[in-house]
Amino acid sequence: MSYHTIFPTAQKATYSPTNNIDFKLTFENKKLKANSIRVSGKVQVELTTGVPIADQVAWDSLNGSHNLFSEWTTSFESSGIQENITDYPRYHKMKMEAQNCQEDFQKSSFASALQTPSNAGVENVFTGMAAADYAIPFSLKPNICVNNMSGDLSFNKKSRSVYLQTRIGSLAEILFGQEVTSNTIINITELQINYETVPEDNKDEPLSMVVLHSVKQVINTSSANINSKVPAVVVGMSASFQLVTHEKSMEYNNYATEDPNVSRLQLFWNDMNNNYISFPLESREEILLNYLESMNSRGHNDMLWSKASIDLGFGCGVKFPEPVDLRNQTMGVQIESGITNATPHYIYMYFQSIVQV
Amino acid sequence: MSFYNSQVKTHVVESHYHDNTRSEIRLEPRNWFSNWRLANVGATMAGINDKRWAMTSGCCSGIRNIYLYDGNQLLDQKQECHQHVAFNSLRQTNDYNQDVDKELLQTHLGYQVLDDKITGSHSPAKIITNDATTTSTGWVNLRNVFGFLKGMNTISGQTFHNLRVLIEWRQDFINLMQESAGLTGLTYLKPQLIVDENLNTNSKTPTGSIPYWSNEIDRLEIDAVAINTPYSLKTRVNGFNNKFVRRMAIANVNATLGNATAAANTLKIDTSYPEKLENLQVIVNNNRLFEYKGIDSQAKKLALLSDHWGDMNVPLGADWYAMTNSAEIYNANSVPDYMKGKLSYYGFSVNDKLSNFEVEYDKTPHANRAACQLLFMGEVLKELTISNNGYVISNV
Repeated sequence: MSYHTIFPTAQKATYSPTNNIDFKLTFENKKLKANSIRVSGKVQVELTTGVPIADQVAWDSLNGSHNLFSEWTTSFESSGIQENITDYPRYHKMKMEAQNCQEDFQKSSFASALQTPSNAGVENVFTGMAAADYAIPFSLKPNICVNNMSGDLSFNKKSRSVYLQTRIGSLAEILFGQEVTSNTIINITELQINYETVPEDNKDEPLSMVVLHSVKQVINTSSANINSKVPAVVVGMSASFQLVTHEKSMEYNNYATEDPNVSRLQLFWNDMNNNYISFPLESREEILLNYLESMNSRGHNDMLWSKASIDLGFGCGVKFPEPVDLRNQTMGVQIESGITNATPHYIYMYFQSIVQV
Repeated sequence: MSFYNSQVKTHVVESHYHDNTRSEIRLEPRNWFSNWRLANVGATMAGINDKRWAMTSGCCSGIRNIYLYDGNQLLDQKQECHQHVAFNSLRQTNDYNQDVDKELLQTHLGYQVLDDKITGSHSPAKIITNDATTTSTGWVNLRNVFGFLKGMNTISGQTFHNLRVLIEWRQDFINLMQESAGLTGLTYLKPQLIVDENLNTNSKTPTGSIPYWSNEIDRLEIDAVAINTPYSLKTRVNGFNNKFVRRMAIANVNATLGNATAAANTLKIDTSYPEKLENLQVIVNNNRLFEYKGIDSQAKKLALLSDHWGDMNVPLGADWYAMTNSAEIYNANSVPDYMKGKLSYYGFSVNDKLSNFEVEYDKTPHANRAACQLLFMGEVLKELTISNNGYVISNV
């Protein structure tokens, strides 16, 4: 096994919000070890230049340093784009919330990504290790297709070089709180990707990856019909909501999973035999239960009615009983909720597909 | 399917020899299942009723070394057993540490979140008393201690005639418990071994080669370093030469930080202290293991450890050398508060037979540091070969 470190193709000393960053992973005559890609660096948050955070500045604590990267695109030299996730931190937040309760955040893989159980403690993260040392190291494993593989990826037989492109989110996407202003500074230094390879065994075995497709739409009525088409055979759909006025607002957490009081959800699609399927969910309990199943929840989660009642910790979705081909058809979603044209909400839908490489 | 049936008989074996420095438990040559448990692991202390075992190693903090012998043949061993137990306790889940190991191993790990702050777990750690009938006693799964037991289902009396477990107890009592004052006159209890006998006469004695992973250690001495003074060490570690090492963990054991001079509720020495500007590069068989500088940040160190040894049950900040503010993240004077800046192990995979193993280690401490040790804990591949003439144990 070999351990590798690479830097962005356009390497800089400091990276700032909205910067686009490209990485190229080359591992000729080797295999990329499954799910071994990490992004590491140091993040420094300042109220203004040279003034560290005191309080009232936070990021989504369940995401930690995942908040920094708003989009991920993964491409193979051999076969082009494999995955393009927009609003990546939102999906990561949904996954964290659906798969972990607060106590589960006391573990090293989350600690290394600066993830904590509560937004209240984030200001202690930003103040760092010492008064003059508040550039905080992080190492996170992005939830992208090459970190969701069933086996090792052969350079020679599958992918050739792997290209990863990411965008650092804007200030208002990453941070929120009373003290956040346009003068607040986020600096990322020593940004790099760490990955592992194993020797090429020249076996060309099938390899599957979980690939996400993200769709964002606006709802401004209490009974909304949404039709979505993604170029994939999907196994599940998970969605969360956000009040339009809360998007990229420094006052609100951009990745809060808000609850627009959804009371009924119905999905429509044609199955593999072209039979019309209608899947109604008639109660909030049923909606939440199916959402957790769509996010592969394992019995622990942070979805509490007490949180949903204050517009946090809600989502909807379905894990399909069999794969649904959405390449030549749309999936219909009918949502009955408390949304009005005075309170328009975004719905962020993430379709999960399993792709053979 | 139930494990316990008429073909299984459980024995409680008392110590054949016991004093405050060592205990020995001997087994008759029968067919034993390998799920050995060490019970009644504990101690009494004269005149006190409020001490608790060290947070990370629990009742095993008293065990310096533990050996598994067949006659004079060493089958497996764990030197500095308390350090291994501390490391492995941290590898359990938060739930397991809160609900199981707090009772069995008497560790003090596992956390909960109250009012948005991380705090200690819901049940208090057990108290050591001056009375053998009331003092806290622990229970240790020896399959987690001896890789030899983990590698086998049954230990046949036809092959192993004189099995014995030898325990050497620690005498540095001041380092065994969370509290620092008044730790003298500790008396170890007589441990018991609980073993299950396989009464099925049709079961066959295994033959052939059986691989197993044994934990071995080596140490490097680190000099005392003054505050903000760069320190650099490049040296060879010879303890793993000609051995196949799967994974390695490295602890920075600082007895001065962890011993009697420290305040109460410290982690004592069964932990690994992080350092400012720490960097580790490992050279395996003349090749650098890590590209670029090496493991040059606390986050990379923790992430690599998680990737190769599994998640550690530590809150954020435990791996930082210090924390400017923590009042909003931890409850003051709770276990996670004591842990900040005190739990940071290196961990990585080697997966190679070592002919030359070197380390380059740098740090610039943020406070004066006394001399300390880097403790290398490696998983070494061994092979037990059983034939009609007996058995041989060898490094692969």
